[in-house]
This record gives sequence, structure tokens and C-alpha cells, in this order.
Amino acid sequence: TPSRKDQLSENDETNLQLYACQLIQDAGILLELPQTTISHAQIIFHRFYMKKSMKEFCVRHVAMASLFISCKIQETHRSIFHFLQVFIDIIYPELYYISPDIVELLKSHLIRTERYILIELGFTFYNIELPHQYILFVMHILEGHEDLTQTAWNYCNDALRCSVLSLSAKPQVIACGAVYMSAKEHSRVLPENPAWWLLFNTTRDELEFVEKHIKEMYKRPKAVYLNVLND
Amino acid sequence: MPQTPSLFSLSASEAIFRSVEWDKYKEIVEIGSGAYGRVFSAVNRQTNELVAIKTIKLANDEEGIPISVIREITHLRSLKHDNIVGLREVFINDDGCTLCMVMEYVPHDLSGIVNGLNNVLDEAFVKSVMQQLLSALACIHDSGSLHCDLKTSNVFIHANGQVKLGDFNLSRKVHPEEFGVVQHFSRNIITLWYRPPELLVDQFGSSRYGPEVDMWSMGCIFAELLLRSPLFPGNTEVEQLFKIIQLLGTANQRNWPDASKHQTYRDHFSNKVIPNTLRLKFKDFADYSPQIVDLLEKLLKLDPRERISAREALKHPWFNQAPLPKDTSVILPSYLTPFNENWVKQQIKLRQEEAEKQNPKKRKEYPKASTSSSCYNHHELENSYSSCKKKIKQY
Repeated sequence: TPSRKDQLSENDETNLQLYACQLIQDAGILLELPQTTISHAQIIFHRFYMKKSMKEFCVRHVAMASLFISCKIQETHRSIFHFLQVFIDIIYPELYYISPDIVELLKSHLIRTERYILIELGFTFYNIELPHQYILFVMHILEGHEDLTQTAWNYCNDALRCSVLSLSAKPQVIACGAVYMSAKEHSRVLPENPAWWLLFNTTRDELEFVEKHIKEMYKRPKAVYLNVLND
Repeated sequence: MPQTPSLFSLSASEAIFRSVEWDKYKEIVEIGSGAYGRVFSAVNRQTNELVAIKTIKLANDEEGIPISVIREITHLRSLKHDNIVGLREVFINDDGCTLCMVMEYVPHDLSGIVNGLNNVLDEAFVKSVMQQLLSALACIHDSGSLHCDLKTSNVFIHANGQVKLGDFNLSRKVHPEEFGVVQHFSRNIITLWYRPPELLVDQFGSSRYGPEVDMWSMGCIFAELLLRSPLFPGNTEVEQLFKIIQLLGTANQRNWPDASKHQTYRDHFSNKVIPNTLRLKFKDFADYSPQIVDLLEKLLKLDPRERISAREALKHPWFNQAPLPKDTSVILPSYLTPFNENWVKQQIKLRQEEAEKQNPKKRKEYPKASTSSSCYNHHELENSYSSCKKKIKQY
């Protein structure tokens, strides 16, 4: 990736990715956005850093702008001031008084970064497909229980934080992987003969690939913000 | 005060916004302007293609790039069809304040053709326009989007008769219902004259709508092509509803059972019975195929559930009857004298000025009468858009 070429260690890069995705998720919840908007934003975020380096663009600003664009695409519009308020609350929790200067500065960053992302990705957002719809479909076919679906849904949300999964895995594969993990956790037996995942053109290897990545992500310490920017 | 992490100084960042793109074009001429910015025509140096460059001012103190622009670009990018305006490229100017959309240049639009062309629009021409429009619309609906602003001034047409649908400022995606997304539908879509009755009677805009709203607008465009004047030119929402009911008759259990649920409808029409006079109005087109009224009736159904879909409409027998779309004898003028919305506006202005010269007193007495006749303006659309924006803000 451009960040790695820019001499950023793999560990730091993953850490920043997870931090930003957590930031998007938290802000999305505070802004009462639907999960589709949040997941879209995470995918936009990952795509942008396939083209630009983290040393060049601040992950906080890109995370913020990704969510902002995602709101517009998904027709779940929020006012820019509400937006900035929420992000300032999360980024500077120790602040008692928010000066108008910070708001203005962050706003200009937001608007600028939004433009960079739109131009860099060439306004191609119609081809983003989320795995969540497949979860409901899989569960409908397998007649799974609600708790099984909920766990799978949560795994699915987490899977999109991992850049490898959200960029390279097919949404069907992520969905099946999430269901696979969910069934293990609830020790529920799903039909193996014929294997249920064949319905979605996936293999056991692919499911285990998804599982491996999600588990790896859980082993990591809590992601924190690092300032890696060039001057 | 904590240090805000800053990556680029505000002035340095401007350099990234390229404007070398402008060098790719020659013979840049301004052809129009609007509230959003200016429109230029230009020629691509490499391909010699004639393009239209739409510039959009980006005000820094507002909400970033306007949602309507994002809508338009994402839709144009995702839809590739012969009858949808092609988007060539998008770039931001050096100053960082202007977004430029390079699109294919289509000289005429249907509102110009309907108002400006003196020769008769023969059946084959109408058929050809309708067929191309319906196939574009079928493509849009198949991809899960709605156009939401179909009207004659948004249907562009080449001198060779090829139709291009444009202006996706209001269009939106419709999610499948089970996807767990609560969608807030704005009622203020579609220019008033082309707005279907279910959106006019529904006061709270709470109901879901789908591709049917576009099909109603198609019916209005179809009728306008035949009549050479708008079918329902209402000035207010209530007047619009009256005009529709006067032509199509009052709703009853058979043709629109849901109508009586709506307060607005009950207020105005609960005790009235008005017959359907659509066939009477179009009796002059007897020398055309009788199928014409049949298709029109299917498009202009009061009940949205009964309205024909774009795919079904394409299979309508009228399209397979003689005269076939290719037999048209209508010849459009070359692009030097475009018949488009701006031209219509100019004509209306000229006519107003002439009327003013002849009887200047009359205008003073009825200052509103003259403005209401110039209905080909963007105010309606802009009003509806800004109120839509307000709604979103409130939410």
C-alpha cells in the first residue's frame, strides 16, 4: 500500500485502520446513522488508503470525510455542525469548552478531504456491496435463530474494519464466514452434507480465511491514535 | 487549547486540484448559466468530440459538495445506456472552488422541440422518442434507482433524433424493503406539472413510492408531445390535483381505492363525480393509431399500483405497428440553433415584452399574470429542492 511504501510499519498501519474504523463506528452510532451508512464509510476509508499514504492524509480527517460522503450517498443527511460536534466530542473528550476556531479548522479539513476522496475515487460508489444483505439471506435459508443472526451480523460489522476483508473478499464470503463463526460460537450444527456454504459458491478455505482475519483482529490491543504525518 | 493535527496548510493543498484538464479542450464558449454555475461548450482536442462543461460553484461555508451533485455524478457513472447523457470526466478547478463536469453535448431538448419546431411531430417521431425514453427508464429502474425529475426540459435530443435523458439531481436509490434501512422519502420530488396524484394528496409524505412516479411523468411527457402543450399546467398543488381530476375523473373504488384515505382528497372531491374525459380530449388524434390512447391511459392511471412499468410499456403493441420509429420525417435543425430550455425562456420573454409594449397598463393591473405564464423556469425545482433540504435538516 502507499502507506507501507512511505515507511510506515505494518503494525502501525493496521492499528490506525482499526482506530479509524472504530471512530467511524462510534460517530455513526452517536449520529444515529444506520449500519449500512457506517459500513459504506469504512469501505470508502479503506479504498482511499489504497491510493494515498497515511503519512500524507490524517486518518481522523479521512474517517470523518468518509462518513460524511457516505451520509450523502445513502440519503441519510446530517448537518455539518452536528457532524463536527460529534467528532470533536470523540477526538477531544477532555475539552470542556469548544472554541469556534477548532470547529472552523476541522470544518475546512472536512470539506477539503471530502474533495480529495471524491476526486481520488472518481465518484465510483455505486459498486460497493455490503455483506449484510447476504446474512439475512443465509439465515433465511438455514432457518437460523435470532441470536445466531445477531452474532453473525456483529461479526460482519467487525469484518469490514479489516482492510484485507473489506477490500478483497466477496461480500458473500464475508457473510458466510460470519455465519460460520456464529454457528461455532453458539455450537449450532449446520448442514455439512452437502455443505451449506456451497450454495453461495464459497469453500471452507475461504470461510477459515475470514475467521482467521477476524480472530487476529480481536487479539490486537486496543487501537490508539498515532500521529504519523509528514510535516 | 490542544493542537489540532494539521496535515496541510490551507494554501498548499490547492495545488492538488488540477486544472490541466481545461487544456484538453478548445473553442470554449459559454452557452448558459444558472443558479449552480455556468455551462460551456467545448471541443476535445484529441477526439474532436463536442462536449458541454458544466461548472458548479462550491461554496466553502456550506455543506461540502452539494448532495445533488453527488447524486448526479454517481448515477451518471453507474448508468451506461445509449439514451442516457454520457459523463466524460469530472475535475476540480485550480482554485478549488469550482467542480467541472464534462458531458456529451446534446443541442436540443424536448421542451424546445415541443414549443419551437413548427412542423408537425408525426407519429413515428413520437414513437421513436417514447421508445428510447422508456428503454432508458427501464435501465434506470432495473438498477434500483428512480429518476424523480422527468420533464420535457430534461430530455435532450440530438439532431439525428437520438434521445438522451439527463439531469439526475433528484434521483435516488430505492433499497429493497427487508434491508433494514428506514428511508425518509421526500414528497417534494418532480416538478409540479409532472407530479403524480399520489404525491399531491399525501400531506405528510410518509408513504413509500417507487418507479410508478416516473411512469406518471412519462405519461405527461407523452401527452405533451402529442398536444404540443403541457397536459397539466397547474400553479399550486391543489390546482394541479384539480386539473388531473378534471381530465381523469374522480377516484372510485375501482380505479383508486386508496384515494379516500387522504385528507386532501376528501376535502376537495368527496361529494363530486367527474367523468373521465381522456379519450374525448385525444379524439383529434383519430388518424393516429388507437393504441396511442391505450398506452396513455395505462401510463396515466390514478392508482400507482395499476400503472404500467417501463419494461411492460416497451412491449406495448403500439411500438410494433406501422409507422415504425425509423420512418419519421421530422428533421431537427443543426446544432447552431439549439431548441432548448433557454431558447423557450427567451421566446417567452420576447413575447412578454411585446405584450407590454402593446398594452403597458394591463401589466400593471395584473403583475402576476405574466410571470405565471413563464413556467419553464427552474424556480419550481429549486424551491422543491430547498424545501427538501430543509426537511432533511429538521430531521
